[in-house]
Amino acid sequence: MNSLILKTAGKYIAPLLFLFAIYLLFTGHNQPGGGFSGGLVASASFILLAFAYGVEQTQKWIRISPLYIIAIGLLLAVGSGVISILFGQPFMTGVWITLESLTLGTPMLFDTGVFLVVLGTTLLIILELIKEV
Amino acid sequence: MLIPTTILLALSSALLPFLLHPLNKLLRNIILTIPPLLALLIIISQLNSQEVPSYQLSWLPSLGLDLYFESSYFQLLFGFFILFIGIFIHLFAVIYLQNDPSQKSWFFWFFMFMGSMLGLIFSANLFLLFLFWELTSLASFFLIGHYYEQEEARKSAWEALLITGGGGLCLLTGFIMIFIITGSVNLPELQDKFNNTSYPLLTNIAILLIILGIMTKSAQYPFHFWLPDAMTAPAPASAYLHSATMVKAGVFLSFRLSPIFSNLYLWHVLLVFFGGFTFFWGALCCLKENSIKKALAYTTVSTLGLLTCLIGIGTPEIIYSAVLLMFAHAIYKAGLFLFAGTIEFTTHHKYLSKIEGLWRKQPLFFMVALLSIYSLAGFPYTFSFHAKEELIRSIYRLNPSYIVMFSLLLIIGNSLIIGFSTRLFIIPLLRAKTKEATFHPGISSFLLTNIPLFFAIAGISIPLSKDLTGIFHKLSHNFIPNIVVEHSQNTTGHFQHYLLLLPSILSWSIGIVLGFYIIWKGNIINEQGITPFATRLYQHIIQQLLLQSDRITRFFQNGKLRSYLQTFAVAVLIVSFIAIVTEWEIIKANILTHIVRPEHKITKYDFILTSIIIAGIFGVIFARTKLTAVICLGIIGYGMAIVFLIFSAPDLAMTQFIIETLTVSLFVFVFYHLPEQPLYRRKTTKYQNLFICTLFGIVMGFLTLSASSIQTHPSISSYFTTKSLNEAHGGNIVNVILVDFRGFDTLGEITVLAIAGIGTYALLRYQRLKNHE
Repeated sequence: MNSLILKTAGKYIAPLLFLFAIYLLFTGHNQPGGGFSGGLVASASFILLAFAYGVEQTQKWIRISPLYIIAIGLLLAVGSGVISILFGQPFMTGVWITLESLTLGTPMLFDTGVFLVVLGTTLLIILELIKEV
Repeated sequence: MLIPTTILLALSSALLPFLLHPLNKLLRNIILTIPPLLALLIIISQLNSQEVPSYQLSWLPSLGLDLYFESSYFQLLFGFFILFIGIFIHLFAVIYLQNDPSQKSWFFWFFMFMGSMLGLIFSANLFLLFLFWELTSLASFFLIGHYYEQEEARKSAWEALLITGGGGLCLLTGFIMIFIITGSVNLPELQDKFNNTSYPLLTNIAILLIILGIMTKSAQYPFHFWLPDAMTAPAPASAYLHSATMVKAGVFLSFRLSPIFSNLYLWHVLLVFFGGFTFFWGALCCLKENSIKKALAYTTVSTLGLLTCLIGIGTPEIIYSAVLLMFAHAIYKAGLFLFAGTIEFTTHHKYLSKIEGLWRKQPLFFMVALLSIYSLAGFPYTFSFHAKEELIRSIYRLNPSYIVMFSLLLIIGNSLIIGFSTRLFIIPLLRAKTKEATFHPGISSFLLTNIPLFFAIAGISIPLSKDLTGIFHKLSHNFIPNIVVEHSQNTTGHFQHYLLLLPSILSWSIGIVLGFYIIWKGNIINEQGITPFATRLYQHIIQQLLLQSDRITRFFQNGKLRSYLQTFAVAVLIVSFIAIVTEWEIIKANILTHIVRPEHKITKYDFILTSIIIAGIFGVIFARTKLTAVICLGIIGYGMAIVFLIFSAPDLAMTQFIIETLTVSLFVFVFYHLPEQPLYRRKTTKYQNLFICTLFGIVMGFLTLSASSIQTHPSISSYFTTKSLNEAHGGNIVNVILVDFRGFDTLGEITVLAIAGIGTYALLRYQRLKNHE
């Protein structure tokens, strides 16, 4: 697929999509969004690039293999559950810190893990499929 | 604590070949004996202590699974034999497998086996024992299949695994039943609890299953055939696993369980009957077999049968003599198998009739054979003679009718084995027709001759040594009071010394005559060896199993997505029909309430949306090209997403939008790989599918309508709405449920997602690599 329109549009839309994905991830705890939909949108941004510029170029931009993204995501998700064990609570109990008005907790890390696993898996499958063509 | 240490030490040797840097392979392989040697020292130190140490650690208390070890004198002595014989056989294997490229995996499984066998010996918890029991089967599988390039080796490895593994499952079921009956699986507690059970039927079934496990492991008729077939293994495996230790696991278990089951009639009858028959049958088979190792395997089968039979009789004296016989057998049989292995190693022949004139070329080796066979036949002053003498003495203390029966059995079985020993001794060793002699002079290695020689001498010298007989006297004192005294009221006490020797003398003379007769006739022996009926039956069953499961798999997994979907839809239809017919009244009432009092007011947007979705459906059905069909599918998906939006589920709607977009673009790419074929070939298929789909749709709609108004549990949504912001600091309840309240589920989901993704990736990649070739 070699289309100037797609390439030019993709150049601007893909970063925006990715930013939106991150926004979805962080806002997900209070508003619509979250790791699942964030991860899907993020993968959509890369797939748009893959359509426009081809798989090899996109893989260069991503830099690490989607397999590693999956692995890091799973590790993050499991690791966020382990933190509560260090505080003497059961596995996957939420641990929270409050910084004035901001409350941060391990579910946030867990959601990031979900985000990465979804992103990695989708990229892994779709990039491989597109490569076939 | 010392007992688990011995097990760990033996297991640690399994890892050493992978950890040690192989500067010198021979040296590394010899270093592997250090941990077992340490374990051996521990056991020797324990042998002299007076108390019975035990070690208990709760592991999975909810399942009754404890790390519970105990070590009576008998167990320690058995452990001593396992380590002692094992170390020597390992040294033998170091030479035997000198040039084997996969010797690392051999050592791994060899020491895995050694450790798990020790675990089996010392565990006092039935489930723990089962765990080690299965580990030994697994190790045996890998050791038998060591020459995995040979089809025969693979086959016999499978055979052994399936038979012993199947028996292991029976054993586990039996143990679970015992757990149900008594509420305990710890051996020391079992004995008291078992005597007053109120489940006679369940108890008998449990005993039957446990005996099945024992019979498969210890190669009792009709499961005996795996043992001779397992002789495709390298000689050290045959010597260690299939004569000295693993096959004794079944016998050992019956030793351990005999005090518990001693009041149960079935236990005695089954063990005596099958053991006695196996004793006779194995002895008969070894006479007809031509391959040395297989014939030796049959003598092992025979001895195992005798041991099982003796445990079945179950008086303390007889059990003690069985223990002696077991140890004697372990020593001389290990020597004999190594002897056979050395013959195979140096002459590359495995048939008795091919090897001749050994004594002229290898006088030392001839001595090994002489001594081992002397032990096998149980001639005077050997360990096995001592054990058999003890046995005959204890048989004379039984009922008079039993005395006749068991003496006869013993004489017949022993004379058959002695007949075999005569043949084994004369054909390859003495008969000096050197024309075809293929024995290459000069056994290169010191160990290859001397280890069998060591075992051969041990088999004779043990009864001569005062210290060693002292150990066995201690064993008898330790052993006999532990067993429930049952039959021994009929002690006759007095018997003449010549009466004691009479059965032995009878069997020696009959056996030697028989041996010479067979050598003279010659044609009784089948050149290629024998295939027992049980082997053929087993092969037939396996063949049919593979054939039929292949047929069934091909029927269901025919590779057409369409027919998978069809099968699925029809199955769901059948189940739903049953549900609808049986629960018709409730479902009718539910649907009526829905139609009479709908919760949602229907607006014009709903109408527009529904018509778009329905138009999409018709578009999919009537589309002429696949691309159109996929785009129409996308329309349906977007329509569904808007439905989610209307019902105020923005999270769901958003995800649905993205998924739909990605799916459509994915489809577009997948099209390149799909074969160009018309959607339907025949009209009838079309109508058939239409019928199934319509019915499926109606039934699903029906069920959805009725399901949405059924409330079996109180709603939990109020819990989440109140707790979400306060305890989980999140305003989006859906997300809070996903990552916090039900985070564990999500963890499972993303794991599945990752696995599925990697699997798909592997399949795609594999396909591409194949296309490239």
